[in-house]
Amino acid sequence: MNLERLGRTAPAIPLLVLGLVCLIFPLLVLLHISLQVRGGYGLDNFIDVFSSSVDRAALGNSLQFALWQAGLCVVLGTPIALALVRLKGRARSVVMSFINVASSFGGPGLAFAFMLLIGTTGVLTTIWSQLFGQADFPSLGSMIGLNVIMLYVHLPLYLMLSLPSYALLRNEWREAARMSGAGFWRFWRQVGIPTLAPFALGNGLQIFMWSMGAYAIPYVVTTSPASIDLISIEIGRDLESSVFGVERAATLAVILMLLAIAMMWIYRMLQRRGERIL
Amino acid sequence: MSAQTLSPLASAGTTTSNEAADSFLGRWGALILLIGFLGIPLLALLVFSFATAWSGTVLPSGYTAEHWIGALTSSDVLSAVGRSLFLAVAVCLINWVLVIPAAYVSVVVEPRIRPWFQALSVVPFALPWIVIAAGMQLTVKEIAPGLFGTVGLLVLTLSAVTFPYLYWAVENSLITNNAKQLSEAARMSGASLPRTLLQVIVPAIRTGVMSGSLLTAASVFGEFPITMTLIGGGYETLPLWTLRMFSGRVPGAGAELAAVSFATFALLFAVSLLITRIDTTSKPADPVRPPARIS
Repeated sequence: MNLERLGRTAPAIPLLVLGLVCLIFPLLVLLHISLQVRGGYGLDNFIDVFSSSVDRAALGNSLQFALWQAGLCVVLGTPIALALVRLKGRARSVVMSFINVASSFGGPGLAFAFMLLIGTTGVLTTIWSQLFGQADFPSLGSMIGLNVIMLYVHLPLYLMLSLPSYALLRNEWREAARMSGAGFWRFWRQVGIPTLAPFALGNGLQIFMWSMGAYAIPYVVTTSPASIDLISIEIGRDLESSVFGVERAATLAVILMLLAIAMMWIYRMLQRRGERIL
Repeated sequence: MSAQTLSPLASAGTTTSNEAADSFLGRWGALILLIGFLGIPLLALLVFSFATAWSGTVLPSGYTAEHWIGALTSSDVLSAVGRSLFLAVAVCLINWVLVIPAAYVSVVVEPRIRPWFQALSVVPFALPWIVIAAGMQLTVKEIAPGLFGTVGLLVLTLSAVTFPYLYWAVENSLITNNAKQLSEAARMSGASLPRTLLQVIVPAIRTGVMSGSLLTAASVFGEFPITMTLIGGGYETLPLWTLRMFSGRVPGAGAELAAVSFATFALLFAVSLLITRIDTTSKPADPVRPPARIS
């Protein structure tokens, strides 16, 4: 590279350095720690993690939780996104802003709100038990409870991801399908679903990825021993206490990282396929 | 986002009246469910924050404004808000200085550097932030233990994970505003590079800078995993304050937590409406442009 070009690209270098130092290098360190064994490199840490029933359970719970979130978002989010696409003007921008904020509202405050609603003395619990007798709502830290709370964050995220692609489903196609005699179901089976499926799957995958790493809400609601364990929370607790040593935290983090890279790769593939159809 | 941002939506909005009638119920049903699901927890927070006592009954036994007054005058809350605001402003300043020139170079001067930034910006978007926090914590403990737990480290890490918000917004603005021609014209008339950047480019892309900065600020303001992992209770930001209130042990904490949470949502909602107003010129160029993300 000649000096002149180096000079012209110089203003970009600080950001490049920040990215390499704060985003890339730490990941290499994680990889390095996770592969370290006495006297060299090896997969011992990974074998330890996969043979520990606690870690296997945490990984299983995280996968199951992420699958639920992704599935719920695709199933519930798709009709809502299709409804939102048709909203216009002022109402649209207000609803979009609301969704935007809800998607980033995941913290102890949200957990508290759900405690007020479906906690043991929550208002919905109270109403339910007055109407139907004893209410036996799942606790916030259970698989179901966590899914309900996190949907508050992930459903809006899913909608924000889906809207641009759902808008591509042209209304003229619907017209054309009707003109040629296709009914509602036929249109969806042969045009709508095949067109939207790659996007819906891709966005579902995105939610899956984010659910695997969900932190703030699970951190506050899964403190009781009866709650489920998630891999992201295990990493955080290890980092705070280091009872298990840093190897376990690093290994779990690398597992999450590898999963995320795999998901990203599939996501890109789905997106390319979706764009080809359009 | 506005109707103009997602311009294909505008054309998709026109339907025949027949079809509109068909789907009226489904459409409004879906939206009402959504607003209900998102609105009811907020309503619960609002009611609780004004309640004298509310536990095991359908409605509170009485109402008072004292929790709001308590929360808004509490020195803990005020200093937590101060710390969160400081982080948001510091991160925005750092990212302005680093991201705007970098985006300028990659769009106008040397497009071959663009893939680097695109690859870098995928990292905080695809990876859980707890993984990045873990990496940063273990790296610093290994290499420079003195840095661990410092605000500087937190600010740098938050700048790195939020840089894509500003980068994407600025890159879009540069492309849609024909920054290349603008800067060539400025250079022809003899302006130096810093002068071109400050007097020609930045004014042209200010909407992108504003909307990217607001996203950055909003996500720093509510950031939890990285703050918790790199600095913890030693530097109580607003999210860490809400954590302490949630974990109990502070009598009467719930109502203040409810008040502050509701106020935060309302504030972010106002900011978001503001972004909608500002962000009418830039169009998303990258399909993986992320929304602000906190949890």
